Amino acid sequence: MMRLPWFKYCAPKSVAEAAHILAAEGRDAMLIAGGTDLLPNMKRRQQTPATLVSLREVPGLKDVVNGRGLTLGAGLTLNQVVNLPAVKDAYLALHQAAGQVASPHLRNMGTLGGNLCLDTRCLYYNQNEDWRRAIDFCMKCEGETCWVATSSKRCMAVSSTDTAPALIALGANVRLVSAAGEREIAVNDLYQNDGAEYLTRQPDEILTAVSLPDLAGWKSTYWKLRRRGSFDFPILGVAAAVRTAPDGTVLDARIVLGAVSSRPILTEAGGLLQGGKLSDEAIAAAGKKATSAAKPLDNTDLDLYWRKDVVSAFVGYALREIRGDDMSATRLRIMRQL
Amino acid sequence: MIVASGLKYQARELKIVGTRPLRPDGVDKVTGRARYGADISLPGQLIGKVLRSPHAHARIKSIDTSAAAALPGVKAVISRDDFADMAEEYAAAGELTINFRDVTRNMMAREKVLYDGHPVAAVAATSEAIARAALKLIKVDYEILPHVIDVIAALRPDAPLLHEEQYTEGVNPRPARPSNLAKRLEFARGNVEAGFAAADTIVEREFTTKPVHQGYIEPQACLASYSEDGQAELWTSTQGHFVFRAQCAKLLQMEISKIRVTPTEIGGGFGGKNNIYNEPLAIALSRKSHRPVKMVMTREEVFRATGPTSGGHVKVRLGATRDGRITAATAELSFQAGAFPGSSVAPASMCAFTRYDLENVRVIGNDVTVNRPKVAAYRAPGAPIAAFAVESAIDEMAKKLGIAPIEFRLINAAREGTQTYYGPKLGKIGYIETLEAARAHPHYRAPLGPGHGRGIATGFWFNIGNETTAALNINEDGTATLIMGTIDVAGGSRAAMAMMVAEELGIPFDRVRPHIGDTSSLGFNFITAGSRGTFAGGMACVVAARDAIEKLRDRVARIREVPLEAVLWKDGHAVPAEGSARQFAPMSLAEIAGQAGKTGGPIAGHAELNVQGAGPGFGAHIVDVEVDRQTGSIKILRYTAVQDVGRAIHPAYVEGQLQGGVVQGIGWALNEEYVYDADGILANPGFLDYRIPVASDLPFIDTVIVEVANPNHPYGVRGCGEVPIIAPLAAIANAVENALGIRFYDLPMAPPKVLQAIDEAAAAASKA
Ligand SMILES: Cc1cc2nc3c(=O)[nH]c(=O)nc-3n(C[C@H](O)[C@H](O)[C@H](O)COP(=O)(O)OP(=O)(O)OC[C@H]3O[C@@H](n4cnc5c(N)ncnc54)[C@H](O)[C@@H]3O)c2cc1C
Ligand code: SF4
Repeated sequence: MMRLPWFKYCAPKSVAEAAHILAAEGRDAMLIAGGTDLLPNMKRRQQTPATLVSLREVPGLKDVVNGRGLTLGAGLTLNQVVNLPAVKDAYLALHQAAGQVASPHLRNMGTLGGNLCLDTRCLYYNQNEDWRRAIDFCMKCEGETCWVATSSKRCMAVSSTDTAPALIALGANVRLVSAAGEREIAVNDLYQNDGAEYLTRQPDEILTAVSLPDLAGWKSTYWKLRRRGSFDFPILGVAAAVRTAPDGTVLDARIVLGAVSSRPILTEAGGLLQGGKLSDEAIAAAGKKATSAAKPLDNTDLDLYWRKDVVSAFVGYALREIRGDDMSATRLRIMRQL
Repeated sequence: MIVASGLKYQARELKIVGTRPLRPDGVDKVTGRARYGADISLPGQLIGKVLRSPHAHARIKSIDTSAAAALPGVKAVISRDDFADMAEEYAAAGELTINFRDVTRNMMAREKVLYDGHPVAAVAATSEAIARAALKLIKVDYEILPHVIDVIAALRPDAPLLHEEQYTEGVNPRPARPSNLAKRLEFARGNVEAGFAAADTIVEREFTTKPVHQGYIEPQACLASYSEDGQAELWTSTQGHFVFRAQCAKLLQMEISKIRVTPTEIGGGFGGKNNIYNEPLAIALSRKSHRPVKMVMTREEVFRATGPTSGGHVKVRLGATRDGRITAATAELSFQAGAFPGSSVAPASMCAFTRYDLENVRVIGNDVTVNRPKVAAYRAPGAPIAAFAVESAIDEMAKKLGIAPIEFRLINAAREGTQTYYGPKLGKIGYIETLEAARAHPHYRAPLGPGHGRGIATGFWFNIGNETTAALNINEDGTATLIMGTIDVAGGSRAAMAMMVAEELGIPFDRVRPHIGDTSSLGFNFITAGSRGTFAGGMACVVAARDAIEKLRDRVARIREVPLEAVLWKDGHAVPAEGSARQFAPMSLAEIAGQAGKTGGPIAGHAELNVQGAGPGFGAHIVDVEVDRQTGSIKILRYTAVQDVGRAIHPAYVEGQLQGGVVQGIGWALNEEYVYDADGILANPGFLDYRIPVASDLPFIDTVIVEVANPNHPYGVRGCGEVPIIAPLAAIANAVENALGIRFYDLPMAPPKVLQAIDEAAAAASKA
């Protein structure tokens, strides 16, 4: 069994108190929500915060506010998100993405905020300390070189969050609160394409809520590829959200890819669809465009060329589903989810 | 009653055998009370940890443990210097053979480290944290050597050499140079050249499989306590406590009587717990520290250093006449043995074609050392690899000849009296019955959806018997306590044994309480391997029960003052023999037991056997798959496993064995593989990245139990645990071929490989 390193544990009772601790402790402190990502990482000594600041007893982080749009507290567990009728009715992609994270047990612990801040992943990084020492530490943690691309100046670890692509497609924002103040940014702006510094969130900021705009007239979906349908991190996620006119003309479309880069990618494929119908040709063109944006590397499961190859098939599945084709058999076969 | 090797089959009416009672170990398991290896502790125990090689191949120039030994809390440090070197000496361990010279080197590296994860030193400390800190203080000076991982690469003349003194065994004359080819075996019968000349059609193919791990849920765990008078006690999760005792005694140069091994509840083994790993280290650490020492492996250690099965490369050639008769068959199997010789290539070679009645056969087996952990047995060791190749080739041949796959197998099927190419003639077997049951199953005829494919394949395994003991104590209240020496590897053999004993004694199942005895309470028992548990263990239990019954009858004859022949045993009672002049009031088991003290003392039955006459098992599997042409991923839609088990004592647990074997076979076929990086370091030593199928990845696996009784067992048992893992690999490959028109020769059939093949086939078709 792998054991946790020693750490100090704080359980603040308010966002302000938590922010205050973060400000005081600096980079040595980390927030912990469900702990399903952070604790395994700590056991493997990938992350070794001296202080853990728990969000469990902070009130308000599980609030759901249904007004114009929907605001979800970052402390909601993924299963709580899945079970909210307001999410399923108006933001299907989020419902589907949250419902495919890990396994039922982990979704009972893991939170929406934790999922958005999920550490990036890499075969050379998600190993215990001895393993990493044996081949020499890599750039993401304690080392100098990237073992995936030795000439790379940056870490290329993979963004593996399922909900982020969905939330970007849905045009959501996040609220970040620190002792110095608070700000709201688009989920798309929460990420940057660097496997080590993958978030634009400052270390002293707490992600408190996710707000979704009113999406009347939109349809959305999330398709996830992984080796086993039961539980695995994504090796590709495709989130699509489309608003169409009554005659089927696409007014707005966003197609976002997950797990093929160090950040979720809002592709240009959506723009390509605007003004036209969701014809087979248009869908194929969008698939091609999206594929060119995918940059998978040899640091996760299965062959990287294949992972790029299947992007267009997955974009096709997603768009045809939005068009109204019955994709339930394919969906069930690939994802065990309707 | 003296029985040398066992009792013969007798058909009779049965009350308990064939029913489905709850297993005696069930409640403790579902309530979390069952004690597995890591649950056993002693006051004052230390925690032992192993320092493992970070290199795939290196010479150990020096090991300096002084800083670790000086760390407060560290009570003992051991390395190669704490163990005697061993000469070459072979012993059986399950279905594979071990050599003590290698076992001692695998347990603790001596001259070289031969794989990533090879133990180099071990410490015992007052806490795990201190033990880990101590490992970091051990300085090992390595000279890194080039390594070789792949079996074909290892056979090249310029390949890095693992053992400088290894000259291929089994070739004549002895080779001039050492190599990684440890052993070459050959089995032959008839004249294959003539056989191929007589063939109308020939199929010749090459196949590869990847090493896969047994994937038991419970990592190896043990606790050792060595006392000042030179006795050692060991608790461990094992498939064979007597064999572990023998190996520990040898490696630690102790007398066998001075070691007592108590087996814990075992969380799966599948052959992977046939071998000692930490056990001798724990005893040595306890001897040095004068404290009990507990050692529990992490999952990563399990993957890096305990036996996977071999990866294999198999060449097959088949010749057949137009009317479907196989005229000749040859195969060459090259198996990765891991760091030390002794892969499952021998049983695999013997199994390769032994489903067919063949005149002309030649099989060559190569045992090849590579820089990977030493392989261990895994359910029908080697047979799935051989069957993947042969059953794929058989399928291709059937297709070429235009004969349905089951018909083609029936034409050539092995039957009672078939001469094997490795020695014996087959006794009574149920291969034909199994094939016929598969053909009659609705699944075989069910319509297939568009793009779906169906595949068939079959498997054969010997099954074994060997040394087995049991003791049955009749308690004062007429209940019985059964002490058995074969481990219940969680398959439910305790239930099966208690059922046979209850059947014999004529008392309810829950009046018999089975326990696994420690090594000091019974005579030697071989490992629970080779599907011998219910066959050999059951034989011993039946013999012990009949021995007890004889004593019960004798007691009644004396109480009632009648001759022994006048007393019969029926439905739990001593009754007067029908028609006998000496009638008396029947006595129940409880009545006899209640007076036992006054009538001659306690009553018990015993069995000490070397059980012979295991009945080979055959399976036929039908599987439907669907392939996603856009991603190449394969989904198993429906699966039916048909198997001759001789007799299912407890049908539900037999079905569980069949289903479990199929699941592991599906993982082998589709997902599982060891991924090594360029330096020979295992990159996926955990269940998140080493992907075994979980429940929701699978359809319900339907089972059909065929019962062609084994004549050499009182209830007809053959053994059933291994056969079901043999056929799935080929059955799935055959189904995929039927779905796509593309045959896969390499496992696993991962989506990228499948998609690439689909795209290539489409490109070739559009060119044509
Ligand atoms: C076996 C396994 C499989 C998994 N599979 C998947 C999968 O398929 N898809 C997937 O997306 N994830 C997967 N995960 C990862 C993880 O379980 C989920 O992402 C989960 O949602 C993380 O949430 P958490 O609350 O447990 O995060 P934690 O572990 O508590 O935190 C994760 C990170 O987020 C930070 N953080 C947490 N909350 C906040 C906040 N409010 N503000 C700022 N920072 C915060 C933490 O400091 C930490 O860096 C898997 C994990 C395991 C162990
Ligand atoms: S991508 Fe490179 S730097 Fe980043 S974790 Fe992997 S090996 Fe390390």
